[in-house]
Amino acid sequence: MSEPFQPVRIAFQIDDAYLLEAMRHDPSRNSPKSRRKVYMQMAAVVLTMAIYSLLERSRHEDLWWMPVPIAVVLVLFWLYLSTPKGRLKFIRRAYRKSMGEFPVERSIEFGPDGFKVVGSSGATSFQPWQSVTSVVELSEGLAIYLPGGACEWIPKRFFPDSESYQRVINDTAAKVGGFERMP
Amino acid sequence: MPDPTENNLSQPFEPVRIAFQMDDAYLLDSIRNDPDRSAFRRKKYLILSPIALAGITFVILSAVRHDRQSLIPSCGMLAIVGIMLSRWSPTGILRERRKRLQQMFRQYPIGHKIEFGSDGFIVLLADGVSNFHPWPSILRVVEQAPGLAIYIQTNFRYWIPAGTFSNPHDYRRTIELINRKVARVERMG
Repeated sequence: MSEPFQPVRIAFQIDDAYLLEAMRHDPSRNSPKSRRKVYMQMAAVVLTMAIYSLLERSRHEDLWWMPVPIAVVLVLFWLYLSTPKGRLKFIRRAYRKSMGEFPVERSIEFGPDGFKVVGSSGATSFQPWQSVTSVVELSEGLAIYLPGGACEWIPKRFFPDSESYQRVINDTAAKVGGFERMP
Repeated sequence: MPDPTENNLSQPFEPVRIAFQMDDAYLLDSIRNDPDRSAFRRKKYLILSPIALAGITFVILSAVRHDRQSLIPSCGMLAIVGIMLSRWSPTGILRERRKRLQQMFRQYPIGHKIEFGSDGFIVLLADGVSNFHPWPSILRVVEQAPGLAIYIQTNFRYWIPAGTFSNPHDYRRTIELINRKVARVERMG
């Protein structure tokens, strides 16, 4: 008979360094498909503005060139938002707006039925394993995907020892349908 | 005669349980009873009025100058205003929230169970997901005639319709508990 699963508890702070690391390790956001989508949206804006500019030029309008700088500004803003630094600024602002503070303390307890997230205010959220969409094991930690696209990044170094990390990995692999390993 | 207030404080709070479906009717009720709805409306009109005004002015100018091609950007501006008005209307917000809930829970409507206790309240959602919110973590509660708005974040609230309580006594007891435990309780309407 197998031994009962001993809960594994980790505590950490959600700060700039953690968020940057989480963004770097989010496989869904860094996928070629996601990048292609962003580039296609940018190309659509540039193309629309270029066509509009050419139409204006054919009509000998004085300000025919106006859509070009507008497109440049839009693309630059878009590029800024797609960089980790740009996204970090918005996430930080969202945290301050919703929770009233940043950085925030967080602790996670992995158990046999799921994992429990405890925030700095004491609010607790329990997520059973069957409700987790997928889990991706990377060399530096775990990316846990929840329904709706939310992702929890759990770095390996937050675990007290490699044995407890391995126990969580084994348990997750056995209980979550969409478990995969990525180098 | 015993003092009823003292009695309430000394007696342990008997948990109050409610269960309801998060469906279109519930979501619409929640949107219509949003305590910050008037502020949202003000913001909405503040943003959209200048765009609509500019669009209408350009349409009139284009018509006076018989310049058909200038109508394109003006109509674009008015189309943006129309789309935003539709998205920010109660039915537009309902559509968005329904879509989000379907993405999050892979089902709709969603059954909700809430238990109010002396330490906080626990929300049991579909798929076995549960959230516990201790009373000190609650930012604000707005008591209205149709129900309670409990803010767990500045921009996230639970809407608890008064009709979901099994009897008025339980509803009154919950309000009394909230008044004792939450620092910021407001009454509206």
